[in-house]
Amino acid sequence: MGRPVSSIVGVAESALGTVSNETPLRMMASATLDALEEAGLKLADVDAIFTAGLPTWSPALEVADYLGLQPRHVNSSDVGGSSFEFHVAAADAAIAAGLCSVAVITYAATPRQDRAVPPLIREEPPYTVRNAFERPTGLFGPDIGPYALAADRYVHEFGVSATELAEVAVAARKWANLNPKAFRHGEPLSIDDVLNSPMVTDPLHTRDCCLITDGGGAVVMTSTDRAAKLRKQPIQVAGYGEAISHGSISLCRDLVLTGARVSSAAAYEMAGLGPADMDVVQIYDSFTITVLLSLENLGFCGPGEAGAFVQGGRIRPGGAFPLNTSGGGLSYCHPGRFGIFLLIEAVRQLRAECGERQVPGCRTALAHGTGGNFSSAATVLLTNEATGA
Amino acid sequence: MPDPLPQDPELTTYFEGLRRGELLLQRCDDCARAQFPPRIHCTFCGSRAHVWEPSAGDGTVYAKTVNRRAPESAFEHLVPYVVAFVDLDDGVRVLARADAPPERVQTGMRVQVVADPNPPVGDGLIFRIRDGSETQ
Repeated sequence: MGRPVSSIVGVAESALGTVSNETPLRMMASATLDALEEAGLKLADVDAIFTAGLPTWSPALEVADYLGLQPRHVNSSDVGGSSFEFHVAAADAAIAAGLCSVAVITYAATPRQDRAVPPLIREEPPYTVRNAFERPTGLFGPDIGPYALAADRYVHEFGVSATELAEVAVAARKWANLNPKAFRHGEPLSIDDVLNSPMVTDPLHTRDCCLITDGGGAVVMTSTDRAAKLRKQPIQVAGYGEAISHGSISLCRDLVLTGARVSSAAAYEMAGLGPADMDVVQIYDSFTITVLLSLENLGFCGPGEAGAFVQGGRIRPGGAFPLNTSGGGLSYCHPGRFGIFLLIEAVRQLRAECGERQVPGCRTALAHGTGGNFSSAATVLLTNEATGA
Repeated sequence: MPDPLPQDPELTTYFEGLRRGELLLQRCDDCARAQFPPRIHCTFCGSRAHVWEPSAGDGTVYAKTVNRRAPESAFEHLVPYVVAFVDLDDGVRVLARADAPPERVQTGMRVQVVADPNPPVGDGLIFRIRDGSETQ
């Protein structure tokens, strides 16, 4: 089968923000039904379910039960917030291998509804690296301490300033103010607001950190041949790459060389495209530092250059490098694992459905997920033009 | 009453060492490389033969963060405190809490890592600033 094997034919969000009286299962079903409807597919067409993060022994089986399906292929592989970019790769391979025909990738969580603050200590056995070797030091977990360590190393090696980091949060807010669904829509944010927000774990301020919201989404994939007959303009999966550099931050070998270097190289090679070909870019923004390190490791600029790269309005609306056009995890939504929303926004940009925040003339998009503590990286390249070999 | 130790040959050796005030590192008997955390095998060559060596704890701060809040109540009396990766001269990287105020800790400085004599949770490591390693 030639490339591109598969296409995304439907995307949808569930309710976002502060969701009351709705479970993650209902939210995933709602998003799945909406995504299938825009594709012109029925629930009975779905024969594969990809999901991650539902706190149960088998998330995919729980979702299958709720949807009322007996899928012939499932995948609950969980590598953190980037799981859904990994799922795109796995779904593409499963479609190519004939293991399934219509794949749903879905996620939802309600950390806001459950309680305002996520647990600082993961409930794990005493022998995990986190419990045995990290917890006794008092590292603030499970994510912000490790990302602060990466930010400190980045500052030490390259002298990036807090102001340069803050620009990532300010640009995200400018985009969020063009997205009516964004949690922070209508709330201004300045560089000083970021710098004056309380320090949580130096050098990261509160406003360097992603939101905690409820929310969910779904992405429907099928073969590119079948996609051509469906309702929506198909968005082709032109390339992807995956990388695992470590699980716990203690096993990270280099805090500023991330898995994005490996995952993006594989994705660019598969697609026959490079960083300069991307019209719109969606990068997981768990923290402002995540974006700067990803920009460098994805090849958009050199080591130590990302702080300067994002200045001058380049990544803001109207800038030369449209980045995180939904408002991202920093200002749009972040229900624990944001990766599904990178895909949804990339697809909508390629379909020119984004209204005020639409980037004109989008033909190619990059969605890059980062999971865990810079642990897992997956890059997905999407196009809206037939580029098949 | 300290927390029970994990029932695992390598983890028990390591943590019993900490409780005696010793930082023990595994060194491979075949390829001679040190590794951390301890395991059944050498992650460099796969050998299951290793020796335990006490570390002098000398090393360099690779990255640090200042915790302004405590992740759990046992650490509240320490806030604010630094947690850092320290690259030991033995060739491994460990995570440790600073036994020094945040303003004195700099990335790149020389420090000494030792067993935490008063661990708030479990058994862990702290580090002290080496005399003469602070830049003025």
